[in-house]
Amino acid sequence: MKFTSLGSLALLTLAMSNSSFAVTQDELQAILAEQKQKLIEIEQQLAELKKANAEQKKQAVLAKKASTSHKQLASAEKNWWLKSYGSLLYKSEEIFRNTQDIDPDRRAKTDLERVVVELGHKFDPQWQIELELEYEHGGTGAALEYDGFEEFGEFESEIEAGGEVLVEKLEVKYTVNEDLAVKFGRIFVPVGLGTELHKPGQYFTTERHWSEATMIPQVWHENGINVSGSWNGFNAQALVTTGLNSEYFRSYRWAATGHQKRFEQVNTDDLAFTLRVDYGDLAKGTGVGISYYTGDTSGNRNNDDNIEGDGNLTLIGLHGAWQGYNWQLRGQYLYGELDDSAAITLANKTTPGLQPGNFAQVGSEAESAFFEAAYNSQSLFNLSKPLYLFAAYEYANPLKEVEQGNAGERFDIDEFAFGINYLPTPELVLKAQFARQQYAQDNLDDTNSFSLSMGYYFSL
Amino acid sequence: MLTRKTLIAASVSTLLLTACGGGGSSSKDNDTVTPVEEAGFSYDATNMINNVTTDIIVGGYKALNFRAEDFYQSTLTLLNTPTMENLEAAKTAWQVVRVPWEQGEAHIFGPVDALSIDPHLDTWPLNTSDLQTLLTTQSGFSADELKTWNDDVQGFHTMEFLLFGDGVTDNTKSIDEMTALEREYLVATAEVFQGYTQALYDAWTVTQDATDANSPAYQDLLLTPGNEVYSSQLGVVEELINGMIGIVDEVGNGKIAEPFGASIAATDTSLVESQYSWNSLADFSNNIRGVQNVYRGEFSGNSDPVVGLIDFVTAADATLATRVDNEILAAIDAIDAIAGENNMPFRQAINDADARVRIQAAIDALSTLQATLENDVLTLLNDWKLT
Repeated sequence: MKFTSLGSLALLTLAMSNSSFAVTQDELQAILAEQKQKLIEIEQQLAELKKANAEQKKQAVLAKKASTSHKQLASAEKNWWLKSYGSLLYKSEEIFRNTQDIDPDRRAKTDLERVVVELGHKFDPQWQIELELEYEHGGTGAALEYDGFEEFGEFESEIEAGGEVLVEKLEVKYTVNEDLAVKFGRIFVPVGLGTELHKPGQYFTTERHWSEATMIPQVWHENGINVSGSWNGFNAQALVTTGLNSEYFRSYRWAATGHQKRFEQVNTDDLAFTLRVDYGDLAKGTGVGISYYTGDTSGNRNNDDNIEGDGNLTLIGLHGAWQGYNWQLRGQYLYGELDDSAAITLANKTTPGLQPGNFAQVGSEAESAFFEAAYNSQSLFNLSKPLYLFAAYEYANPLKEVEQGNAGERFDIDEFAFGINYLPTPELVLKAQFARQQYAQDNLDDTNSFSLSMGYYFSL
Repeated sequence: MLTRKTLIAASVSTLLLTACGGGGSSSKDNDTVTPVEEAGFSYDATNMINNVTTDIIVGGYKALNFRAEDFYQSTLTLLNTPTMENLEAAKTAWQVVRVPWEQGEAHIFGPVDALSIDPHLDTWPLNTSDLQTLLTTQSGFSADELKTWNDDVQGFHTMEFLLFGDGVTDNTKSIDEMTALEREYLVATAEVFQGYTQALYDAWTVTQDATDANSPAYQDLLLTPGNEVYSSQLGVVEELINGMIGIVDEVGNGKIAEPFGASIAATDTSLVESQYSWNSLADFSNNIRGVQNVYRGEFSGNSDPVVGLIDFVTAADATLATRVDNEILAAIDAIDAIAGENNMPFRQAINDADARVRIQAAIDALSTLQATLENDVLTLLNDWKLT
């Protein structure tokens, strides 16, 4: 519009200047030059206008883009989440009734291993909270019932269901920036892969790795604080947490049974320190890492007046995972040392009221390892859904060394397993597995087991 | 649903009958009503508790501790002078110390349980695999080391295995079959063993928690009820009866029935306790003699006038008191009869058709006794009027 009015003004000026015919050549030339100059100015103004207009349009487009992406951002960053996972197991295995039994019986069982509900809430970009409620073996239940058929009526306590309910995690997280975060509350102790990869789709065997559970608590959680930082693909975590209680260390599961979850309160006289460094992203399938844990255990004993020595427990773990070309590999090695193991054994044998008194001999060293490899045969067999063929090897020896005497071989066991994982949907996994257990003890023959499992995972 | 309706109907008709004067007395007859006799019986259990606690329980642990010391000495003699006579003497000493222990299983409560002394002394089954490994890997044995090993490579049955052999074909190990290392292992085990019997006796007579000098002797808790463990005499008597029930159950349904199996095809000799020495039947009958000791308040053969649980039962029901005594005797006799005329050990008897009949008779006798103790004796506590 502006351009049109400027143009007509120029023409009008031209017409007016042409209205006088008594003009000299020079005058005419001067007028022409003046007109040329004006035209140049007009063209310049026009170019500027076009530029401004284009800039305006560009800004409008950008603004529109920005508002759209902001909307998308808001939906991606909803400030709460609900996740759930769980697993159900069927297993037929050969059971030894006691240490003297060399002729095992085949028994079958089913177990609703766990149902976990995870809730999270982001208060603001810095602060968030996450909690995990776990129902193991179908939860638990007790009730007071009234039985009117008793002589005068009777109130009876009944156990209605076995199992456990526990708060596995209550983690407050403060994000300093993209590379630095602090977590505190009831948090995972990241020794080995068990806390990282414990959802049903994150291990191929029908059950979580028993080799790890033979040495340290399974999906180990403690109360404490975790500072983690990332740098160039490396991720490092340093933790100070509550420790273990050596009153419950036993031959068959070493320090695992020393987890203080059986008590209402956790004795916090001896703290533990954990350091872990990973490179890559284990949860996404490729990475390696090392973990180190150290903590004293004597101070956390409820009855600590019959023991000398700190009972220091030190763990070192190496772990790794790799995926590519339809293959997935995972593995770990754990090694642990326990100081004052003979004193702990003796104290556990003589502490009044402490049960069980047997199997008190605890290893001064323990080790365990597992390795699993799986191949996704979906494209090979032209299937519509993923079908993994896997093989796994596990080994544990909670009584690798003892301070005095002979380290019995009864608990030195390894297992070779193979089977399939079928995923009808990405959030559901059906597994089947055959396994063969081998015993270091000479007079025990190998045993076989067969198991099926169903696992699910979803996130809302 | 039908049952509920029937019940409601029955209740309603009962109510109607009562309302119509079907029962009860009218208010006019109140003057002539004889007061209903208060149910229950009175009994002052002080003497009985004192006698059973000091003579039977503490006396039994005292005997156990003395005999454990004798046994330890016999193993030392055997170590230093390995002769057949000394081996036989040690075997006999083992059988002698076994008696007060097995009889004492009739009252396996208090320190023997709380201090885990039971598994330390008497873990079964033994871990013979580890035991053999120890004998091949160790250059010597000491009591201090042995204490830090698992219970299944020490205690009664380890000593039994070292003294008598594996018990498969015979229980007559000779001195030539016994290595110096085995004798050393035996001495170390006997020393640790005696340490535990001393701890057990001290817990009953000096202080129940060795780590707390102020804790009372466990016997005082029974002798002076009204403490945190036994709130009254009733609690003590209940503990005694439950102790008897516990061992009768364990002998009948565990020690005998488990290896016996449902049929001759389902026997399991690995579960037979004291199989190396062929002492199983003596163990079982001593367990029930322990019940008899508590019940009668005397060790068998003692003719002093004594008071035992039988006096408590007599105060409530004299006929029942006699019946219980007879059932205890019958159970002991039935166990002793298992061996038969050719003195067959229990390990072999479970696989012998004729002996199985006798074993079943013993199981039945024990079941009868257990039912009586649970249903007739324990329930007396409800009718006992504490003074």
